[in-house]
Amino acid sequence: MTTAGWIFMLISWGVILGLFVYCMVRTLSSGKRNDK
Amino acid sequence: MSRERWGSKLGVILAVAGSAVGLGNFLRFPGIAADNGGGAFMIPYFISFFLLGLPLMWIEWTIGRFGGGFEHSTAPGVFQTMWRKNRFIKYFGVIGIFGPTVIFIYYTYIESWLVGYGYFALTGRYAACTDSTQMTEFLKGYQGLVNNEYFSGLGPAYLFFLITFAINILVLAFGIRGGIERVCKWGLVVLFGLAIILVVRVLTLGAPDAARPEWNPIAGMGFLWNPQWEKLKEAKVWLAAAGQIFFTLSVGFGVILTYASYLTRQDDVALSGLTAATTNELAEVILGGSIVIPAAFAFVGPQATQSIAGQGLFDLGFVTMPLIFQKMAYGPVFAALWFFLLFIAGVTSSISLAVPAIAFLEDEFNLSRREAIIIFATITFILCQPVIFFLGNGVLGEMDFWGTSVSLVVFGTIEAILFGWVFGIDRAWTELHQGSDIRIPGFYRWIIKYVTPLMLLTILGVWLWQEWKAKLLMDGVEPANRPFVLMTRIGLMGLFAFLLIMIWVVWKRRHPSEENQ
Repeated sequence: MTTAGWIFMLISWGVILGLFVYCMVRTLSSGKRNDK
Repeated sequence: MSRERWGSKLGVILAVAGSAVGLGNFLRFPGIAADNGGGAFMIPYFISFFLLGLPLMWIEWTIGRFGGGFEHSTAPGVFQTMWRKNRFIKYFGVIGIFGPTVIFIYYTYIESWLVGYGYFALTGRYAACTDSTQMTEFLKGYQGLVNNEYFSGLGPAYLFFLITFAINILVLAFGIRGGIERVCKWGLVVLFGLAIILVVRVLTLGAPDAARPEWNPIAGMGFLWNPQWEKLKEAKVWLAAAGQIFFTLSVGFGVILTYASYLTRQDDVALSGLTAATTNELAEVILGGSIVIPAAFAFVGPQATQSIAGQGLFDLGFVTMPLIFQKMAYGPVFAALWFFLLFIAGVTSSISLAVPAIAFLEDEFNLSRREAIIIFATITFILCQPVIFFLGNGVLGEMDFWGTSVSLVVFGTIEAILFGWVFGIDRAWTELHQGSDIRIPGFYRWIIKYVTPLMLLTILGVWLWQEWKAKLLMDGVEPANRPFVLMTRIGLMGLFAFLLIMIWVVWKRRHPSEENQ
């Protein structure tokens, strides 16, 4: 895999993982807030 | 009769994500990405995600919840509540029932092959097939297209179809909370677990052929991710990215709209839509992109992987992947896990496809869930038969074209225009943020109103230009198959007309004032 390939893969994975973690944290924390 | 509701916020998010995560995430995306510029493909892919997929996701969640507030769970009623002055708009909503029902009819049959192949993997039924010619023969025998040494009829395929169809109906019978929500919650957890196991297995394969150390999964990842910049100059690459985003997120089916109609007005849709979309992307780009292509590259090398990338979903799933797993240590176990993973992805999608039609019968005809499911199951079971018995005559391809390609894009375009222009972007923006857990950046007002509809109209225009004439005139269809394709088309038109008449009847009976305006 070329350096450009690694960069593209890591950026893409980073964007998706970042969004996923952000969304899940917000979703789960808002769920707890609603439960209270 | 009290309206059904979701049990939890995470439940509805996973149900929508389950609807979106399907066979295409694992079988379609890697091939399209590798074929259309590798890493460079991700540029149009992400642009399409943020400008087309995400706005449509928000639109469907929002209008679904809005319509649910008026006791409507499907597009005809939802569209009518959004544009009360236009008594014809509800008839456009029929696409949101027709499309998913047509897809359900053939999708459950394909899904049943996964059950069959999982069983065959564990029992070693196709172990004697060592090349793609033999494996193709095995598939053709299973599908009943030929009688050969592997199969002498449709018996096994039909048995697995009955099992799969029954599983789908059983889940639906338990309702939104007890059936769909529960299955999607556990199903997605299992799916992600299996996918992670398979990704780890593939990425730690090393170089299976010691004589060719360059054939390894990391080089296979390079095959998928090394950018080919020149591809970005090709319009078809941008269209492929937009199409992939459209299909992978399950937008334009009418399914998300129906799922969202079971929310209350206080429930968030902005964060939920974003979460469902990113969950799907995680399954597609990170997990789906790390199994098929790297495994193929490690075992069969770059040239064969190039042709594999261009293969259709069936060849990749039922010919190439079983062969690749046969070359692995503990191959039958990993192959069974692979087919089970795909089956979960399939079943969480197929149950969602059934929901609009069932909800329509419940809401508009005041039927109980049990009655609605019996009617739906009877009609779709009968309509599945031509797909099973005339598979080799182009029936499935014809249904796929009208149910998927046409219905989705047309329906998505109507939704986007209705939301941003008829409902009005100011009202739409307020509705989207009602009960919201996040604040969507303001520039999305502009994107939802102008960019998304324009992108959809462009896709629709290009497809009309490229495909419709050839498709309508049946170019490329063998003369012997034309009567079958024609009959399928007539049957689909009949189903569409039947749904239109049902809507007319319902509104005459239940909403006469609207109908006589």
